[in-house]
Amino acid sequence: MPTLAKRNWRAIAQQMEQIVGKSGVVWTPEELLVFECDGLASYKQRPALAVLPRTTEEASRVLALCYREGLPFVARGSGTGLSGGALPVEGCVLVVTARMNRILAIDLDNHQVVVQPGVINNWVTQAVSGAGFYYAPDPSSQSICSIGGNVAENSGGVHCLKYGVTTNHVLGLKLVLPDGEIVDVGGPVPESPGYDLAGVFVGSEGTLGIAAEITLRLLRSAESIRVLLADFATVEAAGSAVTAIIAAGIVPGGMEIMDNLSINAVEDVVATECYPRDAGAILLVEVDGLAVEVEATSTQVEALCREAGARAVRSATDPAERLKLWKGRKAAFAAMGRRAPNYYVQDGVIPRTKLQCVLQQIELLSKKHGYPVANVFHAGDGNLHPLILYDGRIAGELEKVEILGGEILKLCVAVGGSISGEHGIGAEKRCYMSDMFTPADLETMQWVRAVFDPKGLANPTKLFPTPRTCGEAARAESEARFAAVERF
Amino acid sequence: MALSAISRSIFPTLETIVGSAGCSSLARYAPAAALLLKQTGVNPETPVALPDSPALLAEVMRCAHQNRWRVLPAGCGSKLGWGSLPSDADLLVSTARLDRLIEHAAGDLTVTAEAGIRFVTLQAQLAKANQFLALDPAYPEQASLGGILSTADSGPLRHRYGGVRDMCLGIGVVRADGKPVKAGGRVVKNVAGYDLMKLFTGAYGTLGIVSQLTFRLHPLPEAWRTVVLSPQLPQALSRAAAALRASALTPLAVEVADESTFVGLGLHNQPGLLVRFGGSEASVREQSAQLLALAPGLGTHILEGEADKKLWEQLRTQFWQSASPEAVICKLGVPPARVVAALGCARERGARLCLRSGSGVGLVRWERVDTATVEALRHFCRAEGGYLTVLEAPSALKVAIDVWDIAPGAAALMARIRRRFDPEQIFACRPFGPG
Amino acid sequence: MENQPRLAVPRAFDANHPPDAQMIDTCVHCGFCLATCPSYRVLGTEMDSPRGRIYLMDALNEGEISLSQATAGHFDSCLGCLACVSTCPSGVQYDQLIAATRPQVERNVERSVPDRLLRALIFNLLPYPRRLRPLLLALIPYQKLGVQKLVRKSGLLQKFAPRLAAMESILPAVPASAFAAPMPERVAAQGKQRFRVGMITGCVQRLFFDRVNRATLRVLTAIGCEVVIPRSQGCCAALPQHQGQSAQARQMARDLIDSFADSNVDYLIINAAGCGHTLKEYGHILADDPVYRERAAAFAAKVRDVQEFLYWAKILVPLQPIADGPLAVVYQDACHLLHGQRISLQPRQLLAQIPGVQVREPVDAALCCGSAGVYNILQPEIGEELGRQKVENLLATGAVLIASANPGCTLQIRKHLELTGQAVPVRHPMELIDAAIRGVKVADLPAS
Repeated sequence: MPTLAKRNWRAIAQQMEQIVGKSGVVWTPEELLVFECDGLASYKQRPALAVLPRTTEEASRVLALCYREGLPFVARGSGTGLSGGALPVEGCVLVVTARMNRILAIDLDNHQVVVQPGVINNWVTQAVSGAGFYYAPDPSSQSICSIGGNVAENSGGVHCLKYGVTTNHVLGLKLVLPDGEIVDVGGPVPESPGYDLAGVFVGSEGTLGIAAEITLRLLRSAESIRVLLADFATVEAAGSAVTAIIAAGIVPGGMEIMDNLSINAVEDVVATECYPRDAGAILLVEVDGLAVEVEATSTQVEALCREAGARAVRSATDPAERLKLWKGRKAAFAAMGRRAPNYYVQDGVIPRTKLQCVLQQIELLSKKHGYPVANVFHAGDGNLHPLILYDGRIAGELEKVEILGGEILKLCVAVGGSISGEHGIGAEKRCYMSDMFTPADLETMQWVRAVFDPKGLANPTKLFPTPRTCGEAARAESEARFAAVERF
Repeated sequence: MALSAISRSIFPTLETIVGSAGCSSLARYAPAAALLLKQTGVNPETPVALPDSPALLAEVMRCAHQNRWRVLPAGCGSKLGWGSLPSDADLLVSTARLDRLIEHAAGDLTVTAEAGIRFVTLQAQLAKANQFLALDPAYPEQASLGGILSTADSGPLRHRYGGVRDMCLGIGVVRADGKPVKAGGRVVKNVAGYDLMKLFTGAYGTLGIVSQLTFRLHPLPEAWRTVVLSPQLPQALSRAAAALRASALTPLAVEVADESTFVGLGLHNQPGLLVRFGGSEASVREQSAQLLALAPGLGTHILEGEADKKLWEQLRTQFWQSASPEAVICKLGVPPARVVAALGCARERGARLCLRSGSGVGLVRWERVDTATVEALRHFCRAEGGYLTVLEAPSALKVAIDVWDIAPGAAALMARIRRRFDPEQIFACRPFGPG
Repeated sequence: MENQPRLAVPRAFDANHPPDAQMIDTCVHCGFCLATCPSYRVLGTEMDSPRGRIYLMDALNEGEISLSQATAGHFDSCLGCLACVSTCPSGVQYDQLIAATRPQVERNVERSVPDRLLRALIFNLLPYPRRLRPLLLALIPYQKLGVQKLVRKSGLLQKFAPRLAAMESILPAVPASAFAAPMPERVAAQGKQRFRVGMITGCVQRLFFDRVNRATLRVLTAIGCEVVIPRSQGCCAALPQHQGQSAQARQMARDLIDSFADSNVDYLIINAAGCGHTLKEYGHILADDPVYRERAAAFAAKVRDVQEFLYWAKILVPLQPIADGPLAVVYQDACHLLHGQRISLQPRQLLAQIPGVQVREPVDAALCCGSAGVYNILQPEIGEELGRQKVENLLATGAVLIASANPGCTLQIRKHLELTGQAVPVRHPMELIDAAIRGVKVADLPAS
């Protein structure tokens, strides 16, 4: 195998053009620049080529070519991931699925759709909402994140408390394996015999191949939906309301908390004018079901919030009003762009009963390290998103912030939680995998990988820790991003 | 049949690891399964190791690995005869004594327990906090949690809560080489690492022995109520099932069953729908009223409280009473909209059947049947994009048929996974995959 | 690929107002803007998305890459619809960034000869009604004698000059009104006078959509406006401004301000979305002009889109049904109203006030139709695909009439309706309001 630098990229690009057409291959260094990072912009690596197939067959031929040439490849959907899952690796082919954006079949009788990976999450709901259906997983980026990316990361969202995450809604996959072979796993009926390979593939972060056709389960829209917005003097009080709601045997569609810093950031940009700027925290609770149930449950939730010290509780059933209450939450991360030049978002999970204690610890860590931390989280399932604000233009800041982020993750693991609830491990958290898993655990996972991808070409260096990918080695990699660009 | 030389030599070694209390024989440990497995050449005197700690389980497996013993993993033995029958096992390794409840985190709606805990025991514990594991498997009195996962055994409640795969949050496994490993975690949301829980769900112990599990729990409904709908004509049944699927009602279970099943339940003698609601008193009342409005003119029957509970127990035992060794029970799946058609196809072939109307997964049972008839129903399921897997059947039938019905493309990948996880073929005694 | 044509000396941005680095820094790379970006929707390439373009601007500012033709192509592919500005949760002012980039491209990138010629043709013709009108006279025989049919059928133009073909294909039938007497310079209010307003008649609008202007005039007077329409007015500058032709744009803006200099009006009313957006930007356009700076700001402050104005001023006269029975109407959001001026509610509410009208909502309402000023002439492939999608989405609502408040959008939609063989009419909301005031049925309105 020739070394990376000496590859004849021109010939490879031409072969790729044979497969996907001229417009489907990006090869000039200045154009490739825009592919050097995904939603996690602090890690950068320019790919050698970007290729945009349109069909399963084209994707298969692209991967077969990579396999023949021994080229690593990285799949990318909309590039909104927050763990660097679509971060290119040096000398890789970036396989962009944005042109695989067709809904292939809608089967309302069986409550399912078949889509290409580049289809945007909320296009699925748009396509079926007229008939009274929806696709449940709803990441905050649902207006732009792709289903293929959701499958890779096993994305969650604000409504996964009751309805589950992506894996609970994927019935079948047509996979393109790293050697180009096309295999169907799962199917239109759940629980098909044999190993649940569709289940293993979901959340594998692009390390097992590319899902070229995805069969999704649809849900029937609820008869009635109500969103409650409770405003609390402290985050702790909001947290205790969450505990009380769960203890009462209520599982709402979603339960979200935003702290004071996030409330104000959102109000600055999105100006929902529904989040009180002086609140210590707000709790958003969505209750759905039959009208009579929603009525009763909302009354109960409201009472529990007031008992926990809510200063005010307002609610909305009208779709536009509900959207407005959610809008700020969905824009919460990006709104931080106005508060600081950069933010570093974490995705730790803790048992929800440990919420108050962990939040206090995070505050202590924030003070100790001297960076403000805004908290936005899926309180119902204990998935925290601490946003560390910093200025990346100052040399050395990112490194310090990463240390703080690491301490937060270790805290999550220490209380029995996880280092990622929905963003994935990607390039960013691979070094913390060893805090959660033993070498034998990781070796077992690698066995699966070796079966799907014996040459290790699919998104190499992601998800699993290697000495080279941790800490300084990873940054050295990203700083060298312009060293090897002029290959043409 | 004589006990193999290996099996004979195993007993003393086992005793040094797990003590005499941890040693048994297949005949003593699971008499019914022993009779069945005898037909495929497994000696009833085959040793069974019953370690009572994860460490001992690992040690038994390390020893087995070292000695290249062929191991048949087991829980409490209720479903040993499911799927393709094992042959030539040197020993069984059972998790029946690994039965501790490790943590019931009520505030987090999760439970962590050892694999051998019996389903009913666990449910009784959880009920104290008004919570439950939303599964309704076969043989709940005998079934262990690990066995339920390994056979992916869900029931009617799948409609609302999903299958075993959807509820398992984390597992501990002892590999073929005796190394204890884990995947997932104890929190309800977690994407760190590969989802090996899915791989082990329905793997029938071919990849490792599950030793510990964490499951998501649900609040116990305050009230239960079942509405039985019995349309006069098959078209009316189809329409009612479709109307229910298209409605905004949120039942816990919707089963379509044939007339003999209904007769067995002491109800009418025609096919029908069993619709179970759960939740607050007001909710179940409203939901059943709306359902009745949705399907006017159908014969209806409403059961509540104990009667409701009894009905669903009866439905289960209709399929899982193993009175006759000739009985053939299969798991099948068709797309939801084809459930009523599948019902017709099974009835024509003399089977009784109940299917989850929401997912198209269900059970079919014949008291006695030939291979061709089973193949014919399988042919129907496959043509619809579904499958049919033989769970319980006389060994003669299992030998004559591809028990699993795994799609060929995926089967090759599965075979590679199996080789990778178990290169020494420690768990090879249970055939898995086509042919 | 070494043989790819490159400029002898690749340049980055020059020092004359490059995109603001601080503004670029507010972008957190979340990608939300990709969802509503029409060029990204069609091409799927990150470079042709706002996030990608901002990334390129940043790299150009930093001198990491050069302003090559390849790079410039991705700025050219921007339709300027500003949907990304509406979507951005970080409040990035992409409109300002792209506006600063376009003149850089015009100054620092050498365009190919055909490209230069086409652009020269557009910028020296379209914004000047007095130059355009004689040309239209020549077009009448082209259209009436069947030459147009022949040209379109042959596909020759499409093959050899796709962009000229694109220009030809949106060409509407030249209406007789293009040569009719101009509107009076002052029209009195009907009934009690409530406002004195100036009406900006637009350049393309004036020639091809004179009917819309006359309807607007009738509606304004009907609700109590005295209307002033100076004959000296020319193009509002939107066309050159959107393509980075700054000098031409500034001159046109100054001329228009002069036309209304002594009109003494309360408001300046415009019925074309693209023009309205530019008119409201006059303060920015002439910010560096010491003489006009203040006048421009004062002018911009008086500008109102006609629908914005009507909704605010209220139609105090009764409205009659414009169809026998219910009429399903879909309102097509012009980008320069929706994203450029944040006007989306008012047109819908106005239409809903007409008895019997049901306003339908299309999928992807916020996505550009592909017209984007002269974009469909300069980037025909992308424009085509967007037009196709837009018409599909509009028709999927089951509406029997499309309401559109921008001449470019109207031409684009009509063209794609024709291509799909659909006979659904496209009307400006003012035509419908005017019909409702006069009690005329929409079916009886003269064909567009």
